[in-house]
Amino acid sequence: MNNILPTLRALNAFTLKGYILDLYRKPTAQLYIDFSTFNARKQLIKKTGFLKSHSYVIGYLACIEALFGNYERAPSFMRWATDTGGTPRSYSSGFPSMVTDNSKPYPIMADALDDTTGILVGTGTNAPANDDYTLQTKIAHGSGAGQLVHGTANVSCPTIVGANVDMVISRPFTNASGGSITVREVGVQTKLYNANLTLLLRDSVNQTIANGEFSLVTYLFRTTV
Amino acid sequence: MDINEMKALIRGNNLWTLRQRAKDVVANNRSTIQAYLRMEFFKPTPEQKAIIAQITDPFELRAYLLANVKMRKRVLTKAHSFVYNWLAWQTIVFNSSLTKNSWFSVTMVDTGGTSRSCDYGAFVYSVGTYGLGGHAPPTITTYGILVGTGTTTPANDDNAMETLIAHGTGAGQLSYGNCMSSPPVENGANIECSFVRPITNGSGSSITLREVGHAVSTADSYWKFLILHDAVNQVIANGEMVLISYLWRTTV
Repeated sequence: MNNILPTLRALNAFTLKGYILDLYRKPTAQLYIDFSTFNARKQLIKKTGFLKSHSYVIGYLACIEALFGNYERAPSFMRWATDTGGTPRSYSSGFPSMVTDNSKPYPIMADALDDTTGILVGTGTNAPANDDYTLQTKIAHGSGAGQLVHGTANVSCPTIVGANVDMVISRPFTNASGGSITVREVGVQTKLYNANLTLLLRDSVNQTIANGEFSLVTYLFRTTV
Repeated sequence: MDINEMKALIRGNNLWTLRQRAKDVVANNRSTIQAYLRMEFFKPTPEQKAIIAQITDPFELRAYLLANVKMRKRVLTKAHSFVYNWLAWQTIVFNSSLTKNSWFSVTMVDTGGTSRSCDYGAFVYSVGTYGLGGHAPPTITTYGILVGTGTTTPANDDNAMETLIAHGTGAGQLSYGNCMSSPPVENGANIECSFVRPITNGSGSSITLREVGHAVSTADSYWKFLILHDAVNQVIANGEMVLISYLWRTTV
């Protein structure tokens, strides 16, 4: 009863109206994923359209929350993140000790050929979990059997689009392996201090890329007031 | 949408993908990231106020309040409030490559209404060196969790609180405490972290809170940017303390 009464007292008309509107309103933050596949002539042949992503893992909030440490105070609080090898890495000085390069906090704009950071793909079929720290079975960069050529990632400036603010990151993957490859998972990794890699996002998908085709994986970050 | 894109959509939405879409509608319909605003109102006795004054960590303070002080009212609502600057800042933080020295600028409007071109020199360097600066010390009302009396509905391009309530004990003023955040933890099916700030009314009369926001501060230039802005309608009586928390939650 002691828990219920305070909630009832706060339930004025404004708050009640808010609760009802919440049944219809979109969440203030959303994440979507699109998987589009093109043939060698760059013609779009397959496209999932934007699906809801179900994939922020603990590494994302670990990185974001650590950023809020205040420069006007001693950054003495301990922060941590589990690397992609499953080892918890602690950072005794908080955010400044977490990053590889002070000017590039959490790099995900991966270069071509890089299969350690940015958007990555894999063949693992386990459902994503909150505490995932790595892709289950990452597809390596290359043109050998079971490999995909990793392209350069692209990140857009956020823009106000209708009622939303949208920001997009994308990365192409080309299949020159000689056979079809079915992508079953997508993730985003960044690099922290001492080259420790951390997983930020992980999603399940099921899309086949035939030999000679390339796919563009796109994450859409959206906020709506 | 042209016919080719429509055909591509039909080909791309295989059975597995259609099943995912169906699940998103009927079962798995929460966003993978959510924000909530929690306001807890306490009315401490003079003896309890003396103890509270000694507690600087807002999370310790909350534990003390929940265990010892009568909670008068509590509200937990979905936040509808990430504004443009949030994604702009996130773009800057993530949009980098360890092998390249190139950045693009993102224009953000600070809380004073001035457009700031934020890139490596102006913003990212500060972020990288010191953090974002969301942990405001007591009395500071230029950043951290803030409250106001403005009644205009929040909008995507909001850059400041409409009518910020000043720090103090004069008429219409509130006393702002320490603003801190906690690292993320698994809580049931979710991952959660929270940002908390206590605010006390010693003004002598009731004050109606109509807006809540969270602003951050850059290090070298001291620019302040609003990242969250919510409409509320709660009265804080004289002598009461409200603990305002933003809960960030992710769910796979």
